[in-house]
Amino acid sequence: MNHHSTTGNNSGNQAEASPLKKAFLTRNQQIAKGIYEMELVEPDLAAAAQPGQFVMLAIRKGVEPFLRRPFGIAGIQPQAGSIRLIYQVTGRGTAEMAGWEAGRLVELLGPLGNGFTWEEGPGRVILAGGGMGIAPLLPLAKALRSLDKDVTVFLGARSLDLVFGVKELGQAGCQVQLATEDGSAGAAGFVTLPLESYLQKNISAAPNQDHRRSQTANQPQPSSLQLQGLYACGPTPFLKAVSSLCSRYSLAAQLSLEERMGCGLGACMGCTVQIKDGAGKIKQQRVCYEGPVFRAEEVVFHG
Amino acid sequence: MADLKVNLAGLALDNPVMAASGTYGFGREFLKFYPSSLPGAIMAKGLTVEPTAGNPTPRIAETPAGMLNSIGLQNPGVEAFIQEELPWLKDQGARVIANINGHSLKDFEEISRRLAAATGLDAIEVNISCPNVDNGGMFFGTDPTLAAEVTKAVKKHCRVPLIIKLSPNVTDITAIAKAVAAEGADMLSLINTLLGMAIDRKTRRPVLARQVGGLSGPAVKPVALRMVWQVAQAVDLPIIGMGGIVSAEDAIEFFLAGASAVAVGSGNLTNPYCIPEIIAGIRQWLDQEGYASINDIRGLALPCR
Repeated sequence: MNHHSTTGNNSGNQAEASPLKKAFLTRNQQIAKGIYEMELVEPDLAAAAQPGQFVMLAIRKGVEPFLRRPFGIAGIQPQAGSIRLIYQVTGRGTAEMAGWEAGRLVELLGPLGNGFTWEEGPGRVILAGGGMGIAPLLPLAKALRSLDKDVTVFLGARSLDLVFGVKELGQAGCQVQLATEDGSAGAAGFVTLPLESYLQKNISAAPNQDHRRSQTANQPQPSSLQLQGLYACGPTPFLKAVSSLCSRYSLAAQLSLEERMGCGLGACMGCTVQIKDGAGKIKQQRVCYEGPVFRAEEVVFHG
Repeated sequence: MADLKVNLAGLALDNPVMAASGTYGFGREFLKFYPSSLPGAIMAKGLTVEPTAGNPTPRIAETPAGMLNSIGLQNPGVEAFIQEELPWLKDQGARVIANINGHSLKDFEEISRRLAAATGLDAIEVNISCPNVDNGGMFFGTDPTLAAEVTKAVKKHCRVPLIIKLSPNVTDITAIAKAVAAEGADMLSLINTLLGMAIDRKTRRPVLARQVGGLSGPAVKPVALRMVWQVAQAVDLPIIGMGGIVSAEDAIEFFLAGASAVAVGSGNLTNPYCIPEIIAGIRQWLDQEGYASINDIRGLALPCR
């Protein structure tokens, strides 16, 4: 999977458009326990946004709360000129946002960072989202489905009341495998368990055997398509587990990383991660600027 | 229309609003908002002799009206600055101030020796006040004798105006200011961040991986104003005032306290247009109040002498 993108990165001497925008809030509603969805209209933003990119929302009145909040873009509707954000109320910023009403103007920076990339042509892909990490995978799933790819989504949450996106993914033609830690829906436990059995079934089987089976079944089997890669977003321990699974099964993977951010612009160096290049040399890179999406094999996990 | 030009110990600038070190990288990230030549000067990201990786994350924590950072001087090293960043910034028409750091006197000497060979540098700011590194950093800025020694060591090689950046984490900032003035500092910048911390009630642990970090933002402005006001009375050097400036009103208060110029730090992180807004706002205020230049308002809040 190629990781080149023209967005956000390494401004040379060429003038780039300012990412500062005012977006019109048209919808803000609860979709799961403590989880909200908002729709923001800003046609330039909607036209430019790519799956995996993010925005930095200003919440402040005066100087409080001081910093902007980063959110992965959870829906891109260029025709309607809108994007969607899905957020969980976890602190004073998101608590404030939950009270916003339609008709408000929201100041934001975006689209920021470099999104996911994919191969042209038919194929099979896996998406793995942990908790709120499912949000940025929703527009990716739709983009991949619009290219007629076979998309299987592994979705993990603490419990059923925190689950969102299942219906939407199903309607987009994705196969969804749900797991909850408390067993209230889908498989019980971490979603990495069903993901591992899927990889075992689909990767360790000899490909020509697979092919013969699909012929005798006399039905097009999606599993006969080439497995092109995996895309994951979620908490760092989850990404670490997914990354080690992918390396064990030699599956190319892209991870959307999360770090506490100051500016979202690459200026403060707050969200640095260690990235190793092909020669094993470690570089300091910024989640907000060189990321948030990195190839799994280049991410150095700590602890 | 008011004239915003200032002259700081021979450093002539088109306007008195600088980008503070560590909040602006080497200027590249702000090019999509406005030209690098717009700030009075750019105080570049803090440099060390060798490339520095910085501290583990989390390095950022929001606090009331401000933020803590524990970046730890992540930077590509002085050579990369001289070879790549400085020529690029000069091409953009920027005025460039290098911010230098060291773990020892030898480090400070080495880095200023190398910068002496660089062309285009407008000034050097010596950071004796970084709270986020274990050896050196703030250590040099909290003792008048050590602060004087660093100043002397850098002054030996310095061919451009020399700025010493003071730490607020001291009992008497005027003692440090006098000590560095006596060793040839051309001007002073203050304040660096205040040492602070944030604790996460959920995990029962400090938010920052380094546990403590530097506090900045509007929360520190009253402390910064007081220190500028004190130092302006203690030494006869131009002062670059900084600490929580996010508006033209904030900047004007620093001029009234005795600053000759100001720098915007964390304000850049939350509002990328902070510097152009402040420049325009200062001009508007001077016009409205009938002043012709920054000089006319500098130190008006100081006691009559």
